[in-house]
Amino acid sequence: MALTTLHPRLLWDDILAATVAVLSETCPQSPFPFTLTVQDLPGFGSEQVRFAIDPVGVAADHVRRLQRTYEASRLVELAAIAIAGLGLYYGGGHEMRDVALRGSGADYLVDEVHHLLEVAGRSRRRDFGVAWQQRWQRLSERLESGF
Amino acid sequence: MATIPTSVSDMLVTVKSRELQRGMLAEMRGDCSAASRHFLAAAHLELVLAEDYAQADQADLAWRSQLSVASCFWRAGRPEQARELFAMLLQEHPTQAPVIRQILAELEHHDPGPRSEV
Repeated sequence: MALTTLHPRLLWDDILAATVAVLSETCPQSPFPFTLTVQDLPGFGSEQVRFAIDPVGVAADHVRRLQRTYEASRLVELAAIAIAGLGLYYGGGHEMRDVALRGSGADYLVDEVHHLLEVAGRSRRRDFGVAWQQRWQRLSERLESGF
Repeated sequence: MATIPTSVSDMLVTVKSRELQRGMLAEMRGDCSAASRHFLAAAHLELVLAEDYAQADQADLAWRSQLSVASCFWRAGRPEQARELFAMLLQEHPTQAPVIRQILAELEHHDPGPRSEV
């Protein structure tokens, strides 16, 4: 299913094109396989989720334009939002509904109760552990509930 | 006179969220003019939403929208206008001072410089 259907309140065009740009770097053929490790997601728990991300509907021109416009690290950040959106829906039927307030320590609000969602994309695997700890600490220091 | 039930437009919330996203994307690609335009649109939509939430007795969401108005003005390149709004909110809600300080600190960290207005 398309992210525009799963999370219809948000704008996905550029995020989807960025996701295709990033995934096509590592996988020559679509649909792009993706394995997501989920930990303690409300309504789901902890498990690995496997997706096949189909770039149908994303124009090659749009992808090339984004590759020229955004730095590689920005493209990864945008792709991480799409992966988060897929993971949240397929792991518990959660919906990204709004953009979080600056200063909340989060990026998006999830479900009607507005759980905080922090999204971080890292292009190098060795940066992941530190980034995870930093973001998790920042989020847990701020408010009571979040993903 | 009959009481008319108040509701908040889902469409308005969606448009506001998407304007915020457009502003953030413009920021990411360094397009200050577009960022300013979209954050200003979001600020004005949040102004309407803040009042609509208040009318609908949704105080938490009204408060969030009020904070977002100031934040959007800041990110639109109008930090002085934002500071005035934050000062007003602080006067009205002194117990929320830590929240306002946190938002201001993050705005000063991420969006420190004045930018040209549209």
